[in-house]
Amino acid sequence: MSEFDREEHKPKGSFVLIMIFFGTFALLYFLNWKYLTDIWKIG
Amino acid sequence: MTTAAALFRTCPATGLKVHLPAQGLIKINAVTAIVFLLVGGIVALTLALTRWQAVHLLNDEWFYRMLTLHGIAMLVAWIVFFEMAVLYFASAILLNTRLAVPWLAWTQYVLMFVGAAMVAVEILLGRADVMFTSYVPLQADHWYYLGIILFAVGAILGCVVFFATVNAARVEKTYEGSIPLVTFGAAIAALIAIVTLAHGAAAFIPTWLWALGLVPMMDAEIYRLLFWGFGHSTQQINVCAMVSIWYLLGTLTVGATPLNEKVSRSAFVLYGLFIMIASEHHLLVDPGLSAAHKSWNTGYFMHLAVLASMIHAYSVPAATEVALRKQGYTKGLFEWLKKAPWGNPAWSSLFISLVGFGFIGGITGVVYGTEQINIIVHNTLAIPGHFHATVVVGTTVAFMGVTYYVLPLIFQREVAFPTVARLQPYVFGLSMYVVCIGMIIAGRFGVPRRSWDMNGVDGPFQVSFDPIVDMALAVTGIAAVVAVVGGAMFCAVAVGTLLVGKKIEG
Repeated sequence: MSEFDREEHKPKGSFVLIMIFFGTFALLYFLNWKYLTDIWKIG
Repeated sequence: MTTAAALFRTCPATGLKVHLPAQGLIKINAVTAIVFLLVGGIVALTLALTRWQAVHLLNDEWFYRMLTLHGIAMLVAWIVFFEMAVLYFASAILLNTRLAVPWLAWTQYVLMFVGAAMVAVEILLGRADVMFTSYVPLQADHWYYLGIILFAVGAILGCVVFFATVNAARVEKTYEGSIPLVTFGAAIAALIAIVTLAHGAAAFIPTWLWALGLVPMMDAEIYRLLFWGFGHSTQQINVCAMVSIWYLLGTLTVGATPLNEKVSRSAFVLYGLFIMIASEHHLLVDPGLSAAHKSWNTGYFMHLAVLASMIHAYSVPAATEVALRKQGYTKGLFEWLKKAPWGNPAWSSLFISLVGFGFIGGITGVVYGTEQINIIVHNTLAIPGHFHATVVVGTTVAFMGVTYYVLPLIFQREVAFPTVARLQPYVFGLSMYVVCIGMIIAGRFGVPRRSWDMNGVDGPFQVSFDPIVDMALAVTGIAAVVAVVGGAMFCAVAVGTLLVGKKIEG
């Protein structure tokens, strides 16, 4: 097993950070669409 | 007679072979970049203190004049001069080779310097109060446009020298295997630069002829289309160069190597193919383009460039995490982050740049670049909030970070005022986070961008805003003052290193 493949060397922390980033991204995207529907009503 | 070997020295710390003519050109481009950063920073202070309504420092005439100078000094001169230094570093130094055609590289420098100086003088003389975009039918003096054209031609020559140097390294076999990832990223940046500068020529050469009276009128819509092929795409060069610097800083600070080079290279290729299309979002409220055209470009193609950023957003921190875990920091999820070299200004710059670019600049860029959502924020202060997060927090902080390695390697001096250097990324980067968020909040409450008189005091009707806007603008102004202090700290360290830094032999 190479050093790179060892479990303790896997970038688990970065995976968590990037998931937080994705979550923030999705939330802000949703909030902006929601805001758009509030100020620009159809019908 | 000078031998080829006499034109090289070997860096004792990194082992890199440094071509002396390349070293001279990296020095002169980097120093000039920092001079323009200083000019742009001083001007930024006057602008921030004017938009802070309680202070409102400048009168309307000088506000728009300084806004023009700030855009040119920061978005164009500081960034592109530094990118020329990066291109020469990524080719001649990282490939252990000679800089091809140094005389052409000096021509690049002279043309860019003369062009930038002409533009700055024209602005200060009040003959080009047209702001960075110089939208027609606003017309500047013809010397202003000629200055921009000279600058752009010089930058194209720099890209030509870069590719000639990479080719010389390939022919002379100065490296093994594929070119390094950093050089690959710089090559994509240079390709984007050539297309970008061609758009600049297409926009500014007819405008120059119009200013000379040789062409009767410019079409405003065509100008905007061509201008943004230049104006925003210059920022795409920044993104590409910045990501290359991230990988470089990861290697220099903690010895990181990319987790998967092929994936990282593919992400750079995605930038090359699709990132230019992101410029389209400037035209989202223009009447001359169809909804389908806008939607395809900003709703679909642009996201392929966003995918590239997502790849880098994971790849860069993950590479540093693996490197730090290999050094023994393996406890839990974040021991590697806690034990990272936060006192190294290059490392702190890398993380401040990465996080700020992603969370503030990246997210707002994608959201605000979406056709429907854009209508909420178009021409509000939220847009400068977005692009200060990309260009200042992202690119500028990354460039500052790599400077802490360029100073010893290229200028052969130990970094002066190490305590100031350690604090500088935090003072500058974190205060810029606040500046960006303050502008975004004010913009979301409708505060217009590029406006001296946001309340319409001198207009036919007055506009009032939610009181939170006053607080947002005040916080932005205070944070901008702190950011200027952080920028001054960077200039003090850079200039201090050149003047009093301990000489490194080798």
